[in-house]
Amino acid sequence: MEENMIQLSNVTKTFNNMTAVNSINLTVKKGEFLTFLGPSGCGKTTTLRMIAGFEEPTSGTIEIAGKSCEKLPANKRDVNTVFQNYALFPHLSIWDNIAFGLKLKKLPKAEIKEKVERMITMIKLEEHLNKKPYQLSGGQKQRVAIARSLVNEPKVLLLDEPLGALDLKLRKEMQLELKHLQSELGITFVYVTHDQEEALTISDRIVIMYNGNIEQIGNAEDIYERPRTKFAADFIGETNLLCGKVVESNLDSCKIDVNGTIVASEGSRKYIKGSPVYMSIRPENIHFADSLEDASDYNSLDVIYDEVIYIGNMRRHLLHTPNGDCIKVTRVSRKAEHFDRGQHVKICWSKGRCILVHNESEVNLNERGRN
Amino acid sequence: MNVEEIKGNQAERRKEKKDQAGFWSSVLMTIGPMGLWTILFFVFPFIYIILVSFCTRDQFGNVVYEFSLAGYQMLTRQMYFTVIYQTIIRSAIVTFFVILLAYPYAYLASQANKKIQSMMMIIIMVPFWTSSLLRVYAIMNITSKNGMINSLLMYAGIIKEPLQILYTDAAVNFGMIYCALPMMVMPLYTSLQKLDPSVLEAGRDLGANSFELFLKVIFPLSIPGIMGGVVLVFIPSMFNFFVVDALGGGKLIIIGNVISNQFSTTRNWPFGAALSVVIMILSTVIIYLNNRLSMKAER
Repeated sequence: MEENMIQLSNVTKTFNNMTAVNSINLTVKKGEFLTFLGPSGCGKTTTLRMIAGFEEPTSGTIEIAGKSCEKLPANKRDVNTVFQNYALFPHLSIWDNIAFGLKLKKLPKAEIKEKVERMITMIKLEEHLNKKPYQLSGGQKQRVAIARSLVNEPKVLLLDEPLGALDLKLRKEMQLELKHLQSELGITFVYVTHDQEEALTISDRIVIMYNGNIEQIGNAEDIYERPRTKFAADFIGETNLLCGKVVESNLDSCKIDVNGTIVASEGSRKYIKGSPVYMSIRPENIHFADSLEDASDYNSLDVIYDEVIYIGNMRRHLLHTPNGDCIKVTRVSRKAEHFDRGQHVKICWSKGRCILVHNESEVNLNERGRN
Repeated sequence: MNVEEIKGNQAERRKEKKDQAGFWSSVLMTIGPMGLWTILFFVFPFIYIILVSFCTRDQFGNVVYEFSLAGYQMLTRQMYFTVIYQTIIRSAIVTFFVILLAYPYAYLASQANKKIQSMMMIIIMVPFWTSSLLRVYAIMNITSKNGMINSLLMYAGIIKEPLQILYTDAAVNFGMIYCALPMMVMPLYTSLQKLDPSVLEAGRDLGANSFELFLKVIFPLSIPGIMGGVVLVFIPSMFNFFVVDALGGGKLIIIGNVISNQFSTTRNWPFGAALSVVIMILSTVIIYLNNRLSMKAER
């Protein structure tokens, strides 16, 4: 199926009793910008390296453009990698660095010249043709690394945290440049990062990984509005997590018991009665009961007020539940809602604006395999 | 300026002088002894050799301190030209084979895990700490007519008569290669270790097989190491006269032998000094070229 560029089936990688990647299944669509997102040690770089061919999976299969290649060495795969530390050849000029892959393919000299020069113009480094890598700045080296890979017109471009070493302003510029480059060229990009804002900015789809497992796959809106697991909910943006047990589950909603209070979620996700779950509510979706006219259709919870932090356009209120869980509420600073420390307050949130999530490593639901 | 200010300036200047004196005396104390040693045992003999090369000798072999170019004129004799020429060729051959042998060893060591790495380095270094004279005698022993190699071959029935291994050209070259090996392995190993593994991965990623990776990435990046090793092998092998003596049975000579003879049996110090000066100039040129090349390659 040409629609799918990469297919990972039950791919596992273990190093000496440590499981870095735990039987993951993933399909990367042709022409999409897919990002692996997660904290250090979650397995995202290992997965990328297995696609590149630098590591062999302990078990499972990898198909690239329909061809099975988990046993194929890196130099025989039609993918190219952009490394985090650029890995430019220090003894070659920029021109020779970019031409390296083309020369190995034994293309005619005129064709190599044309392709390399087109690339150099694209990355805007025409005056630096004959310089060596040590003479360039970090941003310039990064662009050379990208050019060196792209000039070979690979089926997939793999990028391993390529912007990690750049300063903030340059990083933001490069993020947009990469995004535009990808849509222009139409090449499938597989990107690895630990920076959630970066992932949300540039990706078509995001794969959240944690402890070797895929927590969730989806686009930015999916992941933010409808997180699947506790980790996914907590990792992207800010959220409040209320721990509870499912007491009722029917067609319209799912009710859980949070320390005596019953709250409901109208999302489509259903858990069976008795499952331990978390209710995830984003701070911007919580209201103070006093400010609402009709709170009958809302979930409510009695909490204790701590303090407020003024951040210009927003106010961040910090509260806690009777058993100590921290609650964050952000409100636009229109009219100052004022409370005293220790005051008992009632907070509400819409049943449609909260979602139930589980701890992936504890509960084994049949949600895997759903992309 | 009033009185206080003048006194203040004077005090400042006195303090500065004391500081300076303190600075120079500490400099003297730290490098003084070493500087003295260097001047006594290196600079003086060095200058003396250059001086003597411009002197001449009397019929008994004593040095006559009059300006003369007799020492250098001896050099132009055909015989000595040949020796210099042959020495350079032999050193070049030895260096070439040392690179051939040292490279795979150094490369394997740089890619191995930590334990094997230290093991491999120890294997190369420990014989090096043994006196090379003893090692040469060991080689003489093994390669002689009754030595280990011949005995084994005769015992296995492969040969009937013992082979002439010792006192041949090959034996001399082998001895010199063996003595010089650690001096090439060490700088090569250091250079290969510094290779960034992700640069090698990038080479693979762009389509290079093992041979192409070696030719286009590994080898060019290891040139500084090779150059360092060349200097440490080529130049000393021109002076390794005792290996040539012992394993060549006195039949072969290199420039080192000639020089040592001038200061012992032949008693022609000016000539010996002149030869030394010429070789020193040659060595300096080689080191200079090597520096230029490795600066270019390292960038």
